[in-house]
Amino acid sequence: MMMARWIERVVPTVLVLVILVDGALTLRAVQLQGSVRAVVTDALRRSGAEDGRSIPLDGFDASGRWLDARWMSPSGWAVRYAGRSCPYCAQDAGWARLAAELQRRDYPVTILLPRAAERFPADLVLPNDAPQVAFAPMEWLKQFRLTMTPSLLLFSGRGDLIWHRQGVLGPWDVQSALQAIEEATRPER
Amino acid sequence: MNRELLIEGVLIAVLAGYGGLLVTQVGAARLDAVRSTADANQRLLFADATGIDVLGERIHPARSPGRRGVVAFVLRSRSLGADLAFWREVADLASNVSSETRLEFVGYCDGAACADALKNRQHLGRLTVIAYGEAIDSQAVLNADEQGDFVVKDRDQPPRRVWWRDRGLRAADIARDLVR
Repeated sequence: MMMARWIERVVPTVLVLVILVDGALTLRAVQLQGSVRAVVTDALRRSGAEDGRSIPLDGFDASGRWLDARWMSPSGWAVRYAGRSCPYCAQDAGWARLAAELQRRDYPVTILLPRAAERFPADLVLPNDAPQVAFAPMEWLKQFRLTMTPSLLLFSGRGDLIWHRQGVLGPWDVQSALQAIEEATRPER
Repeated sequence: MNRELLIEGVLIAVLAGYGGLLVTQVGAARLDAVRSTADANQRLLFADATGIDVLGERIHPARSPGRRGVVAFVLRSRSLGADLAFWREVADLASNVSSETRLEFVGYCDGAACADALKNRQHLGRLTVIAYGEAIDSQAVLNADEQGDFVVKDRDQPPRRVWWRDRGLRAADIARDLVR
């Protein structure tokens, strides 16, 4: 009888404890997802490179023609590392939405090609007026460790890296990128 | 009462199993991310050294006749004189040993200071210098240089890295290794 009562009390207590522990573990797993993403994205900056402002990306196109930094803007600029043979680049629906938003806000985008042969045909360039840099200055390249296409880097008008993502844009990325731009362009009080 | 206890017992077992799964995944996920990022940085994706030289002219080393392969290295602005002297000597020695099958020696300037200093091309000798490079190959050479290595792409062999910086090697040692 005593034993039965003891079991009746202990089992619900254990159940509550297990629920609490699982809740805490789930919370930790969610936090870790963010930290895993941070590990991947933190590796973007090359260890030897100086932190702080980036120089704008100019360079030469695939035919060896100079592309000046005319796409610089006081509000900032974006660099998308992508190539035409990258299937994820073509399937990146988030980029289509973000590119349209950036164009609407006059936030210029430069495409950095992994190789000159990876140049996009004119009808597949997003945004459609984006210059495609095939040969980039080593000074710019040495700042970042671009390990995958597509990657997106957003800079403020002063050249600070304000947002970046390696890989296809996730459902929240478009909003988060636009928010980063808004925060960077908000006038200081 | 027994039925309630049974249900609670099953729930405990299921939740404990779920918790155990979370514990193993939580540790593994971060480790995997660190490992795959490190792997991506170590992977040597180097095909050839093409680019734009310090005067803005296109470089097509692959079109050079009698070419055996390419040796790609970083010319660091802060040690430009020493880097240049070293690689000029390596290139001279390598061409003396093997004149029939040529190795192309291509330096990647690490910035504008290096490119500006080399604009008169007086000190280049047999070296070709890239100021603007293709992203993948340039990153491969920069990644190698971070570890003190240069990159060799010999004929149809896969590219390989060779450690040279801070190793006290003489130009003759490197040249001998390259023409072997």
